[in-house]
Amino acid sequence: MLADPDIAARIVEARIVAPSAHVRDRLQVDDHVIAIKRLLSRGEEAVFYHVEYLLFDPARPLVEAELGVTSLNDLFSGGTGSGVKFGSLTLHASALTESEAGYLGEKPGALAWVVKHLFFDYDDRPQSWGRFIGRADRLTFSSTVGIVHREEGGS
Amino acid sequence: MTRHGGDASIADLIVAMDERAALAAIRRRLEAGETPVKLISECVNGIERVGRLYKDGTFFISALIMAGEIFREAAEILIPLLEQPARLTNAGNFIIATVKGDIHDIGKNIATTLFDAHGFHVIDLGVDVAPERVADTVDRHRPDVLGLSCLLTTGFDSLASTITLVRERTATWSHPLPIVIGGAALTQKVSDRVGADGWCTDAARGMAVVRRLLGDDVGEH
Repeated sequence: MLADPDIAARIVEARIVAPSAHVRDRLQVDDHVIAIKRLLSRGEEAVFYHVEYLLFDPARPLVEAELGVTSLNDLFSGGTGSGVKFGSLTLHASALTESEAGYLGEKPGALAWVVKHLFFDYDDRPQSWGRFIGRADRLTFSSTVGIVHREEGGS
Repeated sequence: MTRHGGDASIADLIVAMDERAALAAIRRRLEAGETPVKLISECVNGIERVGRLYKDGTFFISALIMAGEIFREAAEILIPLLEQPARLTNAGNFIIATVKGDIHDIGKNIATTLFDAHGFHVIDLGVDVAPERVADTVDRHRPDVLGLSCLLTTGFDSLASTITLVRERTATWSHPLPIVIGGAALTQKVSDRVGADGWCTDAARGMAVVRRLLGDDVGEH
């Protein structure tokens, strides 16, 4: 699923909003932020609901860069476009809220994985913060350890 | 944060992305007796300037989102003040969407505001809308006209696929559904290629095109 080429992203909402205290704390801004909500689907099946907050800067292509993230592989491989120096990822279990469940076509309270991401620019300032939410039984994480031939290695 | 003084025009304030100052200027000038129509016109001028700055690479998508947000808030103040006899009548049902693959919504939002002000019942499906969703909504609501917005040239294929699907779904209608496309990069050639009934490069021309297609020709475009 990490590099699934069949995943399609659809913008649910893209707006300028006043940051909540939580977002203000993450991005260290008091003024406007850009809020983007996206739904990542495979065919008819909604796989991830993605909520993201970006710094508002009309003269930087921050939205353009973030829209390039259409899979977790992009997230893990740093495929977030220009302007990102480094980032942090946090994975935790959760239960779907009512709105998340609505987007994913599930019942509120269903078990979910949440992948939170925080990206920094080359001035070491927070640039974007967001989270991917997916149903727990649709998402598995695996890795290869030890010495393996490249073509046999997976991610 | 307000960064600009009281002398800047509303268009200047929109270009400066100064939301609070723009809305404050609108309220102040309304109180001074200026008409909503004039103020809307200034907002549209500001939006168009932002659009040009986007096209020349000075601004990026976030500027379009912010300009659209300011326009939306301005419209909430100004539209209810318009003296529009047409608002009392239903000029028609209008479905509008920005096609799949495109998230630009300024032109669509301006069109939504204008059509609402002119008495249309508007269903706004938002941005990045899949052809199936457009067709399903047309099926459900049987509008008098469909508007499809597309700023990016890369969205032209999406325009074509959406129109094709809607044509299939409405093939049995007694009157063909007029479909109008809008976007700064559109031309008659593109309109012909994607199978639209009319096209426009801004919302005001779009209104004229729709009226012509609905048999209410006001002589523009």
